[in-house]
Amino acid sequence: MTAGTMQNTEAGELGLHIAARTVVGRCPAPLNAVEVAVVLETCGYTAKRARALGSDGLNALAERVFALVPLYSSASSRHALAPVALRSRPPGPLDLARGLAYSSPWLVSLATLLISGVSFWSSNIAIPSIADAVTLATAVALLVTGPFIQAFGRRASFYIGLGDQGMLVRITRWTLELGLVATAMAGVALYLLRNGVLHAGTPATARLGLAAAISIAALQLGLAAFYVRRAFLSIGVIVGGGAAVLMWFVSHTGTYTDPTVLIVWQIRLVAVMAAMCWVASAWWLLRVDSSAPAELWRPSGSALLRAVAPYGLYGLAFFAIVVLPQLVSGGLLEGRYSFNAPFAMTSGVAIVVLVPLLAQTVAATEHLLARQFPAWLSRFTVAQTDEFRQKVLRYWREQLMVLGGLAVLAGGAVIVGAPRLGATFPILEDLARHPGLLSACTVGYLFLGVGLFCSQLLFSLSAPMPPLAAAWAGLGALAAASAGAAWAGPTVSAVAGLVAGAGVYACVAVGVAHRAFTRADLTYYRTL
Amino acid sequence: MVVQLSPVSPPAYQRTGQGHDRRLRPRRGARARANLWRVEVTAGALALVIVTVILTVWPAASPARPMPAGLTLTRSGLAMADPFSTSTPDRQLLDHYVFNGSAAPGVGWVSATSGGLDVGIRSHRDWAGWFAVTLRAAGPDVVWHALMARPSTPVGSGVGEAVLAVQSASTQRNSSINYVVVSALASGGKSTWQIGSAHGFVADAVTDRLWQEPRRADAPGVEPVTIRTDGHHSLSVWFGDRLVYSSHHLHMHDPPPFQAYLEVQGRGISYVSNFKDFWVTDAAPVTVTGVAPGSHLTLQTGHGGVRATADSSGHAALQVPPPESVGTATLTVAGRSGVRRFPDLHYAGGDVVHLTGS
Repeated sequence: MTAGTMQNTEAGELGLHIAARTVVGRCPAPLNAVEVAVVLETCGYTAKRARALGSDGLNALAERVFALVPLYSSASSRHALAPVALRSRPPGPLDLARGLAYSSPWLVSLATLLISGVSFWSSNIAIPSIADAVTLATAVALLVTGPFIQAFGRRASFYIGLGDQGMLVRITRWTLELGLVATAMAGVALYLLRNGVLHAGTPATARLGLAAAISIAALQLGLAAFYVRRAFLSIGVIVGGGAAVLMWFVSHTGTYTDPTVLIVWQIRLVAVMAAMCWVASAWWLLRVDSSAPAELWRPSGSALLRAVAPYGLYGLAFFAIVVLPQLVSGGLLEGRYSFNAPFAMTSGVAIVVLVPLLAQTVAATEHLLARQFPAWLSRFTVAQTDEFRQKVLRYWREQLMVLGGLAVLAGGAVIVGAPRLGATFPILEDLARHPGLLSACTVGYLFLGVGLFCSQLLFSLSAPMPPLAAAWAGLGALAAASAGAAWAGPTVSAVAGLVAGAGVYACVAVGVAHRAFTRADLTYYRTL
Repeated sequence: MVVQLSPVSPPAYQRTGQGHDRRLRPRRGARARANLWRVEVTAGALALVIVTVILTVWPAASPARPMPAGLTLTRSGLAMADPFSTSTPDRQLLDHYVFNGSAAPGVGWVSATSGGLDVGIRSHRDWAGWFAVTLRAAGPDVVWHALMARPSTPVGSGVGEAVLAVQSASTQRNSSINYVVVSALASGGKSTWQIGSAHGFVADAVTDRLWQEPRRADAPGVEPVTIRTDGHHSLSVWFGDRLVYSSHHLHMHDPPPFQAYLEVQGRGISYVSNFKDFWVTDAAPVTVTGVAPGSHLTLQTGHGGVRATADSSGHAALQVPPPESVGTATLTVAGRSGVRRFPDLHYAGGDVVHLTGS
């Protein structure tokens, strides 16, 4: 067939059908004309070729081709066809409120602590040996599970979208289940080190620490599927139910709650909650309506590892920035660990500033992915890069400014309000006694929130390497600052590390995010 | 239309079956494999709960008490017991006690040896103390006991005090420090034993002295102290079998439950309190069930015998004096079918023991 013949053939109806067949071959169930336009463009269709087919441009051609797609897609694929809104407004207060749902377990936990003095694995009556064991267990659980949760979140949503039950099971095994096994191994290593080598803590609290590490990790990993599925009501039922049980327990113990009995039932309750999460995930949340895929679709283990490794490594560095200051405050750099109550109290209150920042992060990211990108893609072709970049940059700057405003409000509220709470309630007196420490921790967590915001937006561009670099730069700064301030004692060393680490993470993340948005192209579909 | 019947171009990826969406074609065994995974997760979740329960079993606050053949302990009245007769690492003690006090870190110390639990304080300038407090709380209807000793060496300059206090556990919630106390106070070469009731908030409680022995150089250095109180109006204290103080008309505002403080206080000297045979048990009688009605029961302790007769439901209540609420005795049950003896019975007030094979 000569070029001339092709031109003549494509000028007719046949050319449109060829385009439709090509699109379905690449993308069996395109959601809208935008997606069709992207596929056509990647297949070499240009504006000139679109005009040859009788359309004004690529988008117009895509709309005509999209209308033909049902002829070539399978019956099930046809059900997947759904229109999406192509007009978008910036995220508003409702989006922000929806973003708060992501922090709901944390908020329930904080509310329970304020009401009854007891939370899921902390309380205001814990004795030193229990506090040491449980805070170490929490640190291990966060550090080890962080990478696996990040990796799961990234790939599970992908396979849920594909309707691939087999790969969903596989990715759950290699992330969440492996994460639990890794945490159990880390917990056993910590148990052997503390109980067998260092003889630190008591025999019962050493065992309790192992149980705490496993059950806390199991709960965190178990909740991952709920986040992927956005099953916040279910999270509320499980976490709220657990909180209700705790409050009932405390109210029925009378004037004295034995801290050993309390922590034993706290950890057992967390284990039961975790078990419920896992069972609900397996039988309900991670159940997709499809059969297993053909073998050729199954990526190799190494390919899967390459895909999730950047997210996992990012999760490790991020949670290290969160967790390491707590360990440093307990004397990590002096080769020991004893729970530092003033640092735990002030940093535990200061970290509340992350709640509105996390909500804004979720609102901005979900809006970008679900509404803003489709809207832009309906207006711009891949070739119209400059206009697209201007829009992306503007969106990025606006959302960063909103984040900055929230940070100022949240930071001001904590720095001014928390010491007053400390002066009112004896249980919170450390807040009034250490206002400088509280302020420094607040600044540190505000930086962390900014870094998190930039990282999540970059993830939405399928750009995991810049956040990875930012997080590890932050971790390096944390280590250097903590070591440099070690002479001033564990508390100063910890807070210096937190502020420096989170600060460097935030600065690098803002820088790389700005660079990424300045150079953005229509890479949104790389996420598919 | 021709195009619809016969596509003009082949599928983009023939081998993967794209264009026919092969993903949606059921693969043999896929559903079974997914269900198997779900069962695995469910079994794993169950295992998680079981492992957590096993790992979080806390050591018992009292040693196991094997019963003689023919008797079954159906309810234990013993809340806490620690004979302090063996050397025990501090980290093991901390499963049941918390060490704390007004003394600076490093000044106060605790050590459990075969000679008992030593609670000590190193030489320091100001009045300060150190204690081992039980994590468990008990009361109101319980008896507290410890063999309590101060150093036999007379105190010349400075002051030393060995203390056994029964304090309201509500300190945890409201920071009030209300307690009853038995102490051995030594200074100026003489010493004395005292009983008091104290009230305070956060620190520096004020003690009302209820009873005191005359100060003398040859005051006993060791006393088996037994305390029973309701925290409100009633307080009784025994030294050995001797009731040295009892009143039911006090106003102590010391609400139950209580914790025991094994404590030392002092100024200007190093001082050590020593405690052995520490126990806390219900003030209720030892009840024997499953006995033939009308049978006569005797619990022969080292201090005499306690007798009871089984009622029509086969229950017999053996009311042991508070100082002897915990110990080893021989139980004798005499009925129509003969006499049965159960030597080496480790009993405690509030125990319910079932007689089998009667």
